[in-house]
Amino acid sequence: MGTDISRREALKRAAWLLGGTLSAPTILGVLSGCRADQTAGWVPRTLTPHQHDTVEAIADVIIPATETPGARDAGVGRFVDAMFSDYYSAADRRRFLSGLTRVDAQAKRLYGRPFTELSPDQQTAMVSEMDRAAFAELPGTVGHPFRPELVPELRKSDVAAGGGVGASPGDAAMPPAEDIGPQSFFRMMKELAVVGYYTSEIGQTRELRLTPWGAYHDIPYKPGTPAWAG
Amino acid sequence: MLIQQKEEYDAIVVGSGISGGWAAKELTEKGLRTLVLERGRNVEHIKDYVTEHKPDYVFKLRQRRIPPDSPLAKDYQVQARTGQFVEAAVHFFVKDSKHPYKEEKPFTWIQGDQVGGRSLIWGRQTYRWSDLDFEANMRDGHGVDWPIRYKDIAPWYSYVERHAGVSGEKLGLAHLPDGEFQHPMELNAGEKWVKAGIEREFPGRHVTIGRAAVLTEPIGDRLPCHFCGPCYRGCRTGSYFSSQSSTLPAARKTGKLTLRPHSLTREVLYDEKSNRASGVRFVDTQTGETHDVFAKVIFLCASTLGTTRILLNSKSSHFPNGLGNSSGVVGQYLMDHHFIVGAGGDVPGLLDHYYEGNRPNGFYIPRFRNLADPASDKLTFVRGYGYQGGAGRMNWGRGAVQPGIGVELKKKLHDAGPWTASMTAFGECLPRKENHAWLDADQKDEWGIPILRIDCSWGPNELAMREDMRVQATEMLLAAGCTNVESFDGNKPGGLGAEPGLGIHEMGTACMGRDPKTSALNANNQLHDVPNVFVTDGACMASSACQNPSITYMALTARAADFAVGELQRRNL
Repeated sequence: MGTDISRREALKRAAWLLGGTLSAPTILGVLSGCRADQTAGWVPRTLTPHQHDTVEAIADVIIPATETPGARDAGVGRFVDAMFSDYYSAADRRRFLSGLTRVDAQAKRLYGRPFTELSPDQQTAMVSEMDRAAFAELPGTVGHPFRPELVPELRKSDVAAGGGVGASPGDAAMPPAEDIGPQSFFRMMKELAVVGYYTSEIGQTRELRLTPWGAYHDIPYKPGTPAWAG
Repeated sequence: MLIQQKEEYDAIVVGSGISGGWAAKELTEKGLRTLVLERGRNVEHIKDYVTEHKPDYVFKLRQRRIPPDSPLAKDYQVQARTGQFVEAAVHFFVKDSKHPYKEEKPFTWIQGDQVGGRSLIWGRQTYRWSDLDFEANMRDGHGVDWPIRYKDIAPWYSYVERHAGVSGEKLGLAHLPDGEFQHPMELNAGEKWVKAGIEREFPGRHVTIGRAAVLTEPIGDRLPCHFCGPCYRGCRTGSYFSSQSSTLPAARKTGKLTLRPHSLTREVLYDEKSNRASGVRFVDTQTGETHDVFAKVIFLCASTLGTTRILLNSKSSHFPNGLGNSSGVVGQYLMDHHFIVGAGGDVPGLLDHYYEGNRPNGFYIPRFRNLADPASDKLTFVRGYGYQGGAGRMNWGRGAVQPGIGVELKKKLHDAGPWTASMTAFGECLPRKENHAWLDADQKDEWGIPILRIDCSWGPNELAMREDMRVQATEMLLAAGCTNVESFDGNKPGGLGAEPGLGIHEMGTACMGRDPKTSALNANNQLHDVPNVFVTDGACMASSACQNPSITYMALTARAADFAVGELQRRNL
């Protein structure tokens, strides 16, 4: 299974969206019949259609379809649109959308196409790199993998240019400061993908399971048994 | 326009929460025609539990916690400071924009605004006080001596526990007396492991299941808990104690209850000739009309600061500083429990153990400090604290905070994660005059009632205690065998994080005492100055102890109601 994160580190990194869901159960229950955003002809309120498609594509790389449906099937795109319409502040929305723009800029730089038009391998390569950078230390901190001396200055990327700082061609491949570490766009993206998937009906009833009610007691556990969704 | 109500009641109760519900039950059951004035809207048992039993995926925002900078928190800027402010519970919190106050230093005043008050959303932890707590002010000189002792309240603890229903484990500890318990809920495998380790390495310390006002056995038509999880959404089986599930139905059964929501009490009306309160003046918040209503006995149960605000606003020539405030202490000695300090860590192994059900409870470590024990001699603080905590297996959320994507991530999150454990302490706050509330000279709310100003901060004793809370939690988890143990202390002096009020156990400001010159209430919760006015909510508390206070409010209310009815019968009121 690979090692898991320690509780200490998990809490250090968890933002508001994850509050209470790291180890406390979320709510489980029977269907009440009232579903959100399952209607045909749904249009996003805040994301443009292209932004929605890009978000879904990224989320589907993070949590792909396997024997169970993935993030796209679970409607993560609609969830993200709802969150930026109703939940997040304007500042957080701006930060996310500018990050999304940088994704397309990087895709064009590397492969000549926007992210949604890349091949699965190309998308996976990009998302892997974003994931790595998002969990790297911030520039200037001990152990930071990007040597600050290569970058004359770390400044906010020009959104139109799609990021990249410094003078040398090699720097174009280096993520801007906004895409490194805890405050990065991809941290937010990944949280949204994970929360969006595992609080969806597919995530909670097909990939994981709802705990039965009635009593609270110890039960034995074997690896491969689905965890409770909450 | 002022409407004088023709109908006179035997009793008026202001507030319908933990204390008000009990006053309503006791007074009506003893034969008094009782009017309960609730400032907020009606919430009907079962019918109005609109988010109960719904899975995450039917919520627009999948049942997230709402942060203060969210557009959804626009009217709830103070309420959004608490972790309890989640999508499924927003409708049970007050709109701060509607009920503002001023905080001179950060003070987070969490309030309900509905029938049942915070009894709908409380944490349900219930722990008796002992004489260690009732004698504390006398022994160390902080605050004023309680005019009662454990023997005065013990039968009333039993009385309210039997009706409310409290589950827990008997420990035989003098300083945390056992209650009338239903059988306790279970600790899970991780908690049993932590318990064994702590009790082995620290003989004399105990780790027990939380004592909770959640049924494990039926009471009347209330059913035992079915472990669905979030009590705060309301419970159709009546399994946790709330006014809706427990006290108001009992009051209604008598036929003597009149419950009036949307009724915001402005002041208690005082008749100087008889030296009695004649009744209450309230605003109907739906019509804007002011009403005067009259009764022989008044119970103020509007929550600590709500009650004190009413007293301070009840001015007359005899009481220029507010009703019952000849001493000047009304508004003083505001307290809360300080918390968000402790430790957490990973629990090795136990990977072949899991649990089923969502238990609305955790473990509790009773106070082990300043029990006249030798180990406490070198401590730099007085009084004490307990811990609330738990263990569990990390769930899918951990995927968002570590590297890894794709099939590998999905496979990992499919399984239950490793075990972790954590605990936070709840600490006693000394009663200090400087922690106080008063009416603003200028700003009024939309009904013309002056808003409250609150000046409250932690003192040196609280801060010294926090250091010990943090260190002891760390040492206990390390000694039990946890790895990657890290302590935390959320307090940011002058800022938000573990500020006063956040504990949602605010108490004091109209405290009981022996001397009318230094306290507001006597041993029967009567205003020293005006014997037919009773205060039995958190305002009456002369000290804070470290135990969750609601069961003590229930017991004091039932006791005071019994006394009040007796006084009426003896024609003293």
